[in-house]
Amino acid sequence: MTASSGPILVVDDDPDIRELLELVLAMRGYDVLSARDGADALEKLESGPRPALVLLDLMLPHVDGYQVVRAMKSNPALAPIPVVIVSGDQAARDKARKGGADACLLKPVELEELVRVVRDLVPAQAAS
Amino acid sequence: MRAGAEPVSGDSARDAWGVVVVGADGVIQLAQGPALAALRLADLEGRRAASLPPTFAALVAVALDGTRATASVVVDDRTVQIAAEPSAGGALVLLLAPPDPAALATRQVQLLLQQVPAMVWATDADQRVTHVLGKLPRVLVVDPATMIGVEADQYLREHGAASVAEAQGRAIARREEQLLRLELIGRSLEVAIEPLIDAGGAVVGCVGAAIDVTPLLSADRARAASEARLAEAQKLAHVGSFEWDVPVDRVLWSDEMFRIHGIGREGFDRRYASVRRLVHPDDLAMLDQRVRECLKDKVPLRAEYRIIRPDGATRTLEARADVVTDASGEVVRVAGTLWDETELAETRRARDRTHSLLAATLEATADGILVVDRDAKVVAHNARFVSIWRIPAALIESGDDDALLAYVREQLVDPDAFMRGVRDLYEHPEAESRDHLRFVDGRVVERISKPQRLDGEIVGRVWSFHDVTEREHLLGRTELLAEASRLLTSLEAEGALEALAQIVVGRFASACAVDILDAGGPRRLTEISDEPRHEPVQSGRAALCGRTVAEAVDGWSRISVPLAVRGEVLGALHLRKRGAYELAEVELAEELGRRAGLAVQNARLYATAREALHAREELLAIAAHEIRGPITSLHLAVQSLRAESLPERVRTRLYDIIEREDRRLARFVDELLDIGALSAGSLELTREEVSLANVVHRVVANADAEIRHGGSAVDVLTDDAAVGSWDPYRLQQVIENLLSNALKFGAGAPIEIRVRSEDSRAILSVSDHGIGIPGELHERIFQPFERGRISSRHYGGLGLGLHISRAIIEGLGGDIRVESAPGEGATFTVSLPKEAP
Repeated sequence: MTASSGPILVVDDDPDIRELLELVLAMRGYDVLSARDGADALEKLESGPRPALVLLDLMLPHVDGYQVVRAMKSNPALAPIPVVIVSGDQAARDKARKGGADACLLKPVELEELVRVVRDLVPAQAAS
Repeated sequence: MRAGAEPVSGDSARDAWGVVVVGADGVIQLAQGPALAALRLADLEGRRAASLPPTFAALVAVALDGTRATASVVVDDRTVQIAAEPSAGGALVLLLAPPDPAALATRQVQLLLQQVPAMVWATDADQRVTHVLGKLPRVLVVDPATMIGVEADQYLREHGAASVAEAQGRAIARREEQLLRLELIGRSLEVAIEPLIDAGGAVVGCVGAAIDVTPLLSADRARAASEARLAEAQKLAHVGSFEWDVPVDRVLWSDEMFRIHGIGREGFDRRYASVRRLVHPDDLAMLDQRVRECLKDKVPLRAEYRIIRPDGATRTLEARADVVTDASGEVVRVAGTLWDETELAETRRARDRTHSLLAATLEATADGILVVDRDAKVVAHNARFVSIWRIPAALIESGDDDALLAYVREQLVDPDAFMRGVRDLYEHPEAESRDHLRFVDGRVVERISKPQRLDGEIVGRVWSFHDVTEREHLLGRTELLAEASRLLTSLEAEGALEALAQIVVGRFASACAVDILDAGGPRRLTEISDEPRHEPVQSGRAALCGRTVAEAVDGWSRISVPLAVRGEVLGALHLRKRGAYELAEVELAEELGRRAGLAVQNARLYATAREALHAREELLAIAAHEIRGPITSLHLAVQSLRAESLPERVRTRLYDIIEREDRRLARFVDELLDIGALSAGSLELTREEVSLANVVHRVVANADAEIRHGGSAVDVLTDDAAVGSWDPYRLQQVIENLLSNALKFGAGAPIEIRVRSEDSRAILSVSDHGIGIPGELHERIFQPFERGRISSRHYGGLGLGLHISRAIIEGLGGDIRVESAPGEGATFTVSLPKEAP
């Protein structure tokens, strides 16, 4: 069942990537929330609106991507939220996949692929 | 009264005798004997004695008176001796008329001549035999009587003595003596014939004498043969015989004597002085002494002396002679033999020399030698043997082999093994052996034995001992060094040093400790000991300063050596043991220290290299990782730009992003290149006159976009006096780095940049009020990166910026430091000298 119209949570410590992903997704009508590390992400998951999708970089300071996935999957409230791993490390992606991530994207990400994966997991909302 | 010549046959019948007895009345009662006739006395009986010739009558009268009386009367050239004696009833008169001397003489001569063992004959002028005398005719089976009156010449020729006949003829004719030798019926006769010449000078006949010299000749021949044999024997044996007639000083020599002395008979004057002249000057005194003793004490002479022959050759002679004394005990002769024993003497000398050489060799050898017979009795030894075993003189002289063996045994570490070995060998006389004996006092002696053979038979055993202590010690040291080197090739230095200490203890020391010099000071790495009571091993302070310490205190010896490489001290090695360390051992310890130091340094270098390699790998990993970020952004941005309808605002933002990423990538590349240059030590800094204020302004202007993006307001305050000799491009790089960090971590809060000038220095500070940096990271942020850096990333950089910045500033002679606390922002301050240092 789809996660209705929640925002997409973008988690990446690189501000430029956050900005780009925001741009790209906003252009396609998605609301975007961003977090700069795992702790920030988990905080926003707890307190903020329930995201429809989490785009997660693995290499994060303080609390890394794996921990975020584990935390989400062990939290019944968060478990159903789809998680897409966006990372440069193939081995790390496989590990995260086993941990419960729904999809993986290898950096540098192809725009078309990113869009496709997102659309699959979160049907487009209002087009802009 | 005796007759002048005693007749050989005692024919005293020729003596005349008479007896007259006179009564007391003076009347001759009896008168008998031929002497009376000689006295022309006859018919005496009945006559009165007084009527006799006066002498006779007087004698009788005296005798009748009672007194004996004698007298001699000469009658007709004959002497009659009268002796008148009183007798009972008168007188007794004895008469003795010796025979006619001339007749007696003739008769005596005739008797003598008859006994002559020869033949004497005489002939008259006509050569008729007148006399034949002697025993020889009977031997020649000739009856002398038949020869008288015979014509000698004819007779002689008929009887095979023609030569005598001729000689007779010659003697008479020439009036001179003839001598000849004649062989007759197997006998040799010496014949001499002389003419008989009367007072008037006429030849009246001849006299001949023939002597049978046959026995003489054969004796002569025998003697000659014997002498020849003796001479031959002397010649063969080179033995000469001599006789010295001392009173007249005449020396007689056999032929061999001349040959021995190399002189001829002609030159020899037969005086003792001449003999002396041939003697070697060095031996003369000795010989004279012997001869003196011989003559004085009448003892046999024995002397060995040299002579110098006329040809210059020196010969050695041995003389033995006996002394012959006369009735009064005076020396009359010294006679003996002498032989040339030059060859013998030389052989003896050579043998003695060989013997001495052998003995000297035995003494000169560096080995101790002991020779025993098959019953294990000591036969010979040399001084070195005695000194190796330290045997007291008394023990060696005692000849007590068992005591010797016991004394020797006690000096060894394992006496039982020694005794077993000795017994073993005596049971196998033909075996050879070679082993090492370890002495309680630490010496090591190599012992080799072999059977001693004479003519193929084993007669004993020869033991040789060689002190190999030095060699064993050297071997031990070399082995230790080799093993130590093997251990020290390990790159795991601390483990290797521990293993080194293990092999050192027991072989080289009773306790060993190793100190390592770390950044924090000396650290005791390991301490090994096999002493019964362990006391800590002290550190030698001097060793840690690079000096070797070797000392002996209270019976302990200690060595401390530095672990050093090219003067840099990395630690120290300490050893100790009871007793003394030799210089060679101190040098060994120093060598171990050098090799251990090398091992430590190698391990460090290896660790450093591995770390550097690790760091490089990490850098590459991080670089690859970090670059992925900008590339991801670029990729997405460029792909987004391709969209046909793009709001201008979005397009602008995309371009901004692209530009930003582009710069980031460019900076990554620069940092990578810089870090490469830094590690290669080839970061070059130029120097020109630079205004720090200008550079700051330029940087701020260039970073306009970044500044706006970062959200922080940048406030700049500069001093134009801050001018120095610096590298403008690198300085710009540093300021860009500091600004970039401030923007990154500034959290949007204001950033202040200040430039001020001091006398000789320029000061730059960049302050932000962002998240701050914890104290423990203040130094780490200037490191290129360390392990686990990923967990504290620098937000989109390689994390090399500060490291490179510091390298640049320090290269310009300045320094860079940070003041910061979490939550209170950070201020980076750069201080640069205006002039190049």
